[in-house]
Amino acid sequence: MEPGPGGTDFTALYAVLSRLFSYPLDAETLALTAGLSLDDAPTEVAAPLRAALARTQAPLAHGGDPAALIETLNSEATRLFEGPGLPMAPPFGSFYLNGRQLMGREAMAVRCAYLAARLLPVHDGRVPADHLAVELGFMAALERDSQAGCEAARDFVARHLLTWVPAWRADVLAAAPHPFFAGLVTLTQAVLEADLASLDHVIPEFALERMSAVGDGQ
Amino acid sequence: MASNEVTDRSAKPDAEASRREWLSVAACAVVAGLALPAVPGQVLPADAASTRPDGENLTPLPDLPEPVAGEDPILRMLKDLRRALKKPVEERRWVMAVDLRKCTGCFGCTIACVTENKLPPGIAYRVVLTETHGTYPNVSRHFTPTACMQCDRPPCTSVCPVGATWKRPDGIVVIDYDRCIGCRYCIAACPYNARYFDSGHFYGDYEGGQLQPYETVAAHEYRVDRVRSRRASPVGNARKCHFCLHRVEQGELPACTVSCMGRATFFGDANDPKSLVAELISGPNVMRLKPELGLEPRFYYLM
Amino acid sequence: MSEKTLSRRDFVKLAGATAGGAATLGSTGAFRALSAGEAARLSQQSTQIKYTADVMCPAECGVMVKVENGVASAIYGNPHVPYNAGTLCAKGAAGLQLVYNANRIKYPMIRVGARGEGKFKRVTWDEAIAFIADKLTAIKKTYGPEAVIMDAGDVTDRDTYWRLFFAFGTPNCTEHGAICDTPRRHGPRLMFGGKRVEPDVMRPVLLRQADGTLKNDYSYRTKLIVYAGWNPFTATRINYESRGTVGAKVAGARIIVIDPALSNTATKADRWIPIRPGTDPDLFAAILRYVLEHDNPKDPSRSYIDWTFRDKSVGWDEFRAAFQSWWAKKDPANNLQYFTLEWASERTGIPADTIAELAHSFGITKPAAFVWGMHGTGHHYNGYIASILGTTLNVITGNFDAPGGVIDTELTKSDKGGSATGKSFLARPVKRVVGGKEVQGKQDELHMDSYGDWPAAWDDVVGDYPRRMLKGVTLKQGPFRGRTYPIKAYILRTGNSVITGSATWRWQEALTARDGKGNYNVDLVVYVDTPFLESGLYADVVLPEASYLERVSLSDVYPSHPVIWLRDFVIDKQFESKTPFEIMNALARALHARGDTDIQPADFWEKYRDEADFWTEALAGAPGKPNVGSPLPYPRYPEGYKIIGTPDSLEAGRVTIDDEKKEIRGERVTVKWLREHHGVAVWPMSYFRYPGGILKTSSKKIEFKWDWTEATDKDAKRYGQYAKYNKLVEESGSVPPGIAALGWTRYPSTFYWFETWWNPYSNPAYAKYKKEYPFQLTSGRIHHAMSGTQMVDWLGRMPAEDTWLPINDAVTYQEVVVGADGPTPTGRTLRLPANTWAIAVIQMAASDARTLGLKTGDLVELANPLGQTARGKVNAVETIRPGVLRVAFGGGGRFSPGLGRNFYFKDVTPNHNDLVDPDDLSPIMGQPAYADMLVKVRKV
Repeated sequence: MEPGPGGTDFTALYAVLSRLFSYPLDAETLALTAGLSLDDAPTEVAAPLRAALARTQAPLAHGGDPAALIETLNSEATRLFEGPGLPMAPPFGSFYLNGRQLMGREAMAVRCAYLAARLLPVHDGRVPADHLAVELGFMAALERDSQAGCEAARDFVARHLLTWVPAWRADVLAAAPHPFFAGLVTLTQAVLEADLASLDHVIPEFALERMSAVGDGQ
Repeated sequence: MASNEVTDRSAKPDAEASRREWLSVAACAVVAGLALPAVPGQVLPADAASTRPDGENLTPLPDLPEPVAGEDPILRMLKDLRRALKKPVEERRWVMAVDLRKCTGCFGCTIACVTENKLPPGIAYRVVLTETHGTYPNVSRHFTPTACMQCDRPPCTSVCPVGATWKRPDGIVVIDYDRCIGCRYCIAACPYNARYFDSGHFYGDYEGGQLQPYETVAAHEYRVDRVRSRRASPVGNARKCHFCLHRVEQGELPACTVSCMGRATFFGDANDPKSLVAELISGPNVMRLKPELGLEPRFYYLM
Repeated sequence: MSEKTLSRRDFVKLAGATAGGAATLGSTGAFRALSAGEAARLSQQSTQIKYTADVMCPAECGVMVKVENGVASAIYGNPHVPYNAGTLCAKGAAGLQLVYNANRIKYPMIRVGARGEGKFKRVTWDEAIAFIADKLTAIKKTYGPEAVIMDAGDVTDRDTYWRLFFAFGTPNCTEHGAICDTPRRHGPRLMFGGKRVEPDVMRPVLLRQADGTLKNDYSYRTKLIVYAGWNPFTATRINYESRGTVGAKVAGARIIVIDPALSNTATKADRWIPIRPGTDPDLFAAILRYVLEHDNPKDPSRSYIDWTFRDKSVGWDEFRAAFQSWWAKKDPANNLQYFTLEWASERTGIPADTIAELAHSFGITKPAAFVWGMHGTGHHYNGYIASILGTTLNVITGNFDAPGGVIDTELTKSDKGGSATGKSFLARPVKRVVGGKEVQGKQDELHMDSYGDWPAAWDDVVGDYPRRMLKGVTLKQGPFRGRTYPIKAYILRTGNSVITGSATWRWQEALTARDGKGNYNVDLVVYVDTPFLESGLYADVVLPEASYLERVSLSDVYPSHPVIWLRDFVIDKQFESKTPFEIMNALARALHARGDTDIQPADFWEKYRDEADFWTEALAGAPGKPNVGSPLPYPRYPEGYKIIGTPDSLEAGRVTIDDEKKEIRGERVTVKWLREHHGVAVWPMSYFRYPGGILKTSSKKIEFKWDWTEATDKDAKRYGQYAKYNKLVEESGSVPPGIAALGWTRYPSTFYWFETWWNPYSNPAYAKYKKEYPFQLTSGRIHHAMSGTQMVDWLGRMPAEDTWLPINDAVTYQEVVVGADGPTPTGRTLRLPANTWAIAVIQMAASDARTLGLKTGDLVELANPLGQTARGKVNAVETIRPGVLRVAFGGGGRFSPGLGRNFYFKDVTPNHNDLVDPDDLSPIMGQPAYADMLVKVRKV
């Protein structure tokens, strides 16, 4: 498929990741994940993504009873992310940034960011705004056709997501996770880092385009 | 070191004076409608636009039918309160009174205070003492709600090594959490056991390990929004009842006063002869706790 | 990376997914776009105040909740609701810790282990509803819908569930009244058609003034209040009795409290009379005898009786004659004449002159209120008698519905429910085969109690459910008599019958009993609630119900005059919980989809699109009370007509008068109207609202007789509250076993007397137990914590009277929390230090403790003559009568992890209902007699 300006395929990637961190996993989601491919992407950027994606997809290709696999992955997701009580790696920004609490300052700050972009989570009020699936969903919802949109995306990755995802990923890996999740959390961080790098290149291009457009009109 | 007299404070440098001044009339950013998150442990700047000492923009009074043969005590006290807020702060004399004939021992005041001030495990500003006397069948039991007495001659303020606690002109003894170093001298100095140390526990620690939503909401003590966090004030500080100053200065009665099941709790400006509290504490059936200590508490009991 | 080789046009190529495609999979991270206005408005959301109704106890006070950024952060009383007038007890304020509790039921679950094991798995709502609907459909086909019990438990906003199950076809829908205090209500029911006698101390009351205006009256008129076996300061069930009692006292009233223990209410009494448990009827009978013997209308110091009551009542002569027929007889228990002071003193343990002084005080002081309680009277086998006598005392002294006297608040409360509750389905014609023949009757005539062993049990007989679950139902009355059916499904909502519904072990037995093939007798058990209580452990399906901050509804409430207030949404539904309204419609759809023609879309989801639709219909008849009394509520409208409509439309004259139906119809009360008026509607108070008026007796007068016939030239009409039941018994010839055990063949026409169970002081049948089982066991409510609220941390840290005390031993435990799959270990090891957590304890007289060599904190075992035991720590105090133990209801032995830290003390805290006699069901209405029991004590 043809990526749009600003790296639309990042949008698709975020959408899939957001779904993968929404409990529960089901057959449709795993099938979609197994079918993803980054083979056509330029190597320099996509190499770490490809490796992480491969790790995530490997357990899905093993054959065997799909229902049993879903059961296993959901149990693991429960252990790592859901609870009851304190899970191994609560996927919330506040937990890592505001002293292991929920609904802290970070949750309020990202909600402000959503509203500033005139977006609101469908589950606002029920799921904290700084849940990883929600933040990734925001990344998927942002338009990247404009400089402002790209800047909002860049801002959010740099000032929110990447400030806590590495620590969260470390917690997941320290919990001896199922290889699917080991791959998934690595893929998530890799996508964020790649997106940040890409946006840092893309954003100045808007300005360059405007300058050259002005030039053309003279 | 300064004595217990309030006037000593006038000798302090300007920076401190203005900080105290700010604490007494500061804005409440949350009520002003900003979505700014509270910064744990930090004091937000004053916002002159949301200061409301003149009684405007207060929440509406309860809409009740006209009274006959008596009055609604809450409505009466709210009107007294809003009248008092029109006076300069040094002309108000806040007192609390509890009618011991009416306390039913329900502990509603204790919990109302805990939820209003978002108090953590281990701290309850308003406790109800229960005493039982006699042998069967000649037995009696008494309930005595207590809180900080807001003494006119407070023994706690003078022992503070860093000047983090003092008595305001309107009588409330306050604590500056950002200055308090948690040495606990003041806690030891109080003969009414009214001061507490915040050790940093959370309710969520005991149930499941995740914080409960109501303990992630900012508290508004002293009209400063703070989300309680283990690494910031007021954890590590002394804490005490402040007569819900943040509510009072916005024309609302303290939490214990509105909740009281026996309608036994009263609050108001004793300098106003028309106020309900002034009437009540002038009666013959009035006492205070430990009067022999000469601390002149502002907390009265009707018998 | 090279800037030249990369442009944003080909940065990453992803094959296999599009953003749109991935989004259709449904994600927690789905977003929606906002308009500029919406975004601006949401950015400014900060603090809101929302009005709703509490549920931490059945008082269901009006509250207002502070919501900060979508989180409920503090709860206060709603000052506009006169019932609690802005006050709120510790339970109400602590509601945050129920709504946000770590042990709250979050998702639907289906059991995977055996019942009682506590093993569940999380499922979707669709799966859970399908499971239930499949079973209900199968049960209905094989056994009939009457094999299903819908128990709406302890929270009174039950109308959605009753509607659904009435429509489904079962008449067996019940609520907590059945295990609350039915004997206590019996007198007012027989004599007024009401239920609940309370003192006139609700202030403010809205009264019509001489100048025509309505004003809030704050004056207390009562001069004497007697509380017998009633502890309003702790029970707080009638909220206004806290401020009202002390307010009246400060205004000059005398307060007398009759209670084996020094309750919190007794601490403010001018006199505390420590009565022997189970002897309230004896005391009341002696007071009545004294009043009747000493009343002298010509002597102002002895003028007790206001004889005008005779004009407003029927049957007094018969009642008096029946009462006095005992006077000459001698009680075999003590050889003294019934109802004399000496007789009562011997039985109650109260000195004779104290009883005389009490009787004289009550007779001579006007106005006065004689009020009796739930446990003290309601929880004894013969509690009806105390209720009848107490009602009589109020009536004959002129205190009924008089200013400063007593009010029957069941008769004065606003109507609610109406057609929404679905009671019209009970009149549906149904056919059953009985004894080989097809019989037609009404759905209601299949009722397991009213047409079974308990015709007079107008509040159903939950205490007897275990027996019917084990043995099945046999109808003995009505057209379907002879029909038997099993109980195949038990749907329990916001109730915890395993702990509260009579003996715990009997309920456990009933819910786990299996048939010959190894299947559970009761094929389907469903538990619907917010907290996870013991009964949930025995469920096949657990449904998360939205907490009281997350739903819309109306509750049964008991102010002195019509007032109704709304429960409303405060915060978003947490986790996957659903409101009762949503559950009703979801289950209705599923049943309909399985071919159940009794469930029609036009009666459910097509009729009620949202919560407001349903509850507005439930409000349609409000207040539904007659324009009677003094001062007349609405002098401009015809007296005696029924009032319907909002207070403002009635006041403004925006009404139509229907002279045929005798109705004054203002604008209907709606959910919307309530939302615009601080959540509450208040109509005027008045007094002397009878005869006729508020009374619901067939003669429209106060009835001292309960089954009589009056013949006129044309016909004969039968009157009295027992008449209907006697008719059934006459038709069937089958005497209900409860009353047969008393030697009765019918329900009595007037005053009756019989003894209670397990009381060796009054019933000779139990004298033999006195020596070995020297303690009478009583109970009472812990103020702070009831069966369903003890997981609340704040309430667990504070003591309550002498039955709930922080004297726990230190305990280290492996934490278990109710998670997605039910009770699940969290892996955390926690320690509770000693003396930091309140546990249920056994209140014992210090003198008894000394005799037994016990001190506070000692662990003992209580054992009853049935061989049941319970353990707990002793609390040796001066505040209880010797020979009596008090163990709070639902306080101990809590074996559900949903109870939080209380769970870890289950083996050292007493469950009162482990000791209750499950066969001690009061004879007329089947109330479990929780307070009839004897125990012995040994140290462990």
